[in-house]
Amino acid sequence: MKNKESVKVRVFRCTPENGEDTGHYEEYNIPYEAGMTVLTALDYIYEHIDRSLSFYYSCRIGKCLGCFVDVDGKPVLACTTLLKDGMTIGPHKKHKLIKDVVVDFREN
Amino acid sequence: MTDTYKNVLETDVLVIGSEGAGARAAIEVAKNNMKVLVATKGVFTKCGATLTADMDIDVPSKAAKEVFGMDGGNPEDDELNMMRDMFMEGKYMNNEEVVWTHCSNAAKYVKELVDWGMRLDGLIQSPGHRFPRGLISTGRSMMTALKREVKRHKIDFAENTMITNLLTKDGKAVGAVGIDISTGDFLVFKAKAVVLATGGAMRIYPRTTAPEELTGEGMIMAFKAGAELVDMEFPLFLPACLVWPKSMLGVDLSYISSTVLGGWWLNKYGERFISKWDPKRMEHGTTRDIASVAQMIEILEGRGGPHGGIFVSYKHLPDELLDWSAKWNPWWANYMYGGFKLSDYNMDPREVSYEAAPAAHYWNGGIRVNKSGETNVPGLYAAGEVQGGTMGANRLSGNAVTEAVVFGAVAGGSAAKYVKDMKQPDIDKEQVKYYYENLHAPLNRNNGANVVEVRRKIQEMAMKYAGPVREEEGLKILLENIEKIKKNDIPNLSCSAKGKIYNREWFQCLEADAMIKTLEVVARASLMREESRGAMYRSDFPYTDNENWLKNIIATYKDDKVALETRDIKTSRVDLPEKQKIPYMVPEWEWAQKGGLSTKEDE
Ligand SMILES: Cc1cc2nc3c(=O)[nH]c(=O)nc-3n(C[C@H](O)[C@H](O)[C@H](O)COP(=O)(O)OP(=O)(O)OC[C@H]3O[C@@H](n4cnc5c(N)ncnc54)[C@H](O)[C@@H]3O)c2cc1C
Ligand code: FES
Repeated sequence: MKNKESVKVRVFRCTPENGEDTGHYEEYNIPYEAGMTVLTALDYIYEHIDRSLSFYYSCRIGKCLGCFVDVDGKPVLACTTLLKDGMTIGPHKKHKLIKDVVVDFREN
Repeated sequence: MTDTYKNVLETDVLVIGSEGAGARAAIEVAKNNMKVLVATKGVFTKCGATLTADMDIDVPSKAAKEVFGMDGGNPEDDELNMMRDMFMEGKYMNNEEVVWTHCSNAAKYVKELVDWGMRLDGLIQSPGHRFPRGLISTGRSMMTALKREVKRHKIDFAENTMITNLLTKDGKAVGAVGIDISTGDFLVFKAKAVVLATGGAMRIYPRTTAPEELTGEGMIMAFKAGAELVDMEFPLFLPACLVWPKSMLGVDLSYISSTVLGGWWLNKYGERFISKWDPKRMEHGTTRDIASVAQMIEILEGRGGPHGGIFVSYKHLPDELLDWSAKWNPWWANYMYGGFKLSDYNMDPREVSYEAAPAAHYWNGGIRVNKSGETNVPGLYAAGEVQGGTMGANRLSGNAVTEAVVFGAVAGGSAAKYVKDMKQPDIDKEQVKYYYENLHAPLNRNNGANVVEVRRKIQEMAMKYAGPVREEEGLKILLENIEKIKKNDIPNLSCSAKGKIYNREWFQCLEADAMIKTLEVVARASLMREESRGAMYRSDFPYTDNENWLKNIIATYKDDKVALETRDIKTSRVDLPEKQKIPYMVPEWEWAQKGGLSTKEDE
């Protein structure tokens, strides 16, 4: 894919405090740059499109294992997964949802 | 306001920050049979710098051999020698009693980690060390060991919890307030003592090796509670970190691999510019302070590449050697870095050179502590990267993890002793009310400043004017801009998203306040220090001035303002250098070997 072409992604949105319990997917257009990851896409949405999007990350280099999301149904680390056109990004299913793609990883 | 006291948590010792220093402190409190609660912004073992550490943990070389069974350990090296190297490379800004605690307890507390299950993979001698002191392990393995111990002691946690302010009563630390990010609830913590283990503030810079959440609240909440900050002009930069692609901004792959394998650092003319600064040690052996300054000057003077970095190249090495290195060099094993498959990112070192530049890596300064981890505020302790005094003006590789475990244990032990037989102190309700209102202000405000933009502004000017290379004019511009942001933007931040559950915009607003204050202290201290030393280079004073500047700069917070004073460095075991000005680029190590430094015990 070339720089500056745009890609479409679908991201799971769910705001439990508004009484929404099943959630829905929203589609976003993101200008593409070489080497973009799922995490840089989420960051782009937060910074440029909608600041109510919630996601968790820390190290952004594949070490903390905090950025797990499901992409097209499979669990991956958002920070080290290359972004592709048409991806569907949802919360990691094994854990309880907090909001959007943030799940509850707490064990304590 | 009805929900102000809905969530009140009481404990003996509140530990803020959950990783190397925080987890270790909590274990020590629990071992001493005191109640402990750990509050952490992230999720335990999924946040902080500790997890990302992937290399060396320092102990005296003698202990590497005798305690850890490493063949390469050298019996000629002991605690005193290690202290001496830390002073030499810390350019004498270190606090002697703190360094001594660090060196003389390193083996003991690192051994404990090994007993708890931390893996050891070998021993290395990193740049600036005169002996091999770096036990090789990973932050993940260390945290797995600590986690096991934390579980065994059944330690309580408040995760996804951002602490914003400390509570004080009669000048003593008695708790803290913050938000549970995952619910948006306001939390009040009542404690007899508080241990801060919140790590550094590298995220005030746009390019950093450090994780997302290290934005400086710990230092600033201590500062506001009356604690002294020291050596704040010396944020450490790691040279040769990636500037491209954006998803890998700040990644240290290109630095680690160039020290391990001998990558060349080239400017746009293909010159190995480090030869001007450190001709003997070159890329492979130079220390991070000099390397960062050298790279930054190439970039600032227009000899960099298209993305604003210098080039890191391995192309002088035959492919066979690179292929072989991908088998043994764990930092790009099978041409992977962490989770990145290098070829997917067009980063295969056989194919391309990297564009790289200094990235903020570690906070040399911080909250001033003594050898017991106590700050000048009774009941307040600081441990790990958030503390100042261990490293002085430059940190040697491998000492940070050691600092985190040694001082985690020390501060945790001191706090446990302090709270023993103590009654639960009262908190000041006026303080709680004030913080409650402040903390909710960005949520309640409409159409104010956008935190994404404010954050970007802060980070960009931090890098531009308070990077490895600074000068008076730039620092003055920076301070003017800081005043503007403090006046116009910070009190006016507003969230477009009003929900309380996991509101990223909200907690970034709270972080922005700490970021700007941290940057202000960095800027003011940098302007005051009219010389170049360790991690700080002033291009208008390009020499190390041991005549006038064998002094620490101490910052205190008075009437909403930053006040600075200097204090002479005092030592009893390490001799200070001759009172003279010396050129910045001479590696002091060589200079010292010519007789410039000795320790009193040796004489
Ligand atoms: C990429 C990288 C590689 C490194 N490699 C090495 C190495 O090989 N050897 C070495 O010695 N050192 C290395 N370091 C440095 C070393 O990892 C750190 O200095 C050390 O681990 C710091 O430990 P800490 O516990 O003090 O802080 P951290 O591990 O950073 O933990 C800070 C904690 O504070 C929490 N926190 C922050 N703010 C708040 C708040 N407002 N409220 C509540 N909680 C908060 C965070 O969530 C986190 O839990 C490296 C650093 C990086 C970034
Ligand atoms: S952010 Fe740490 S693994 Fe992805």
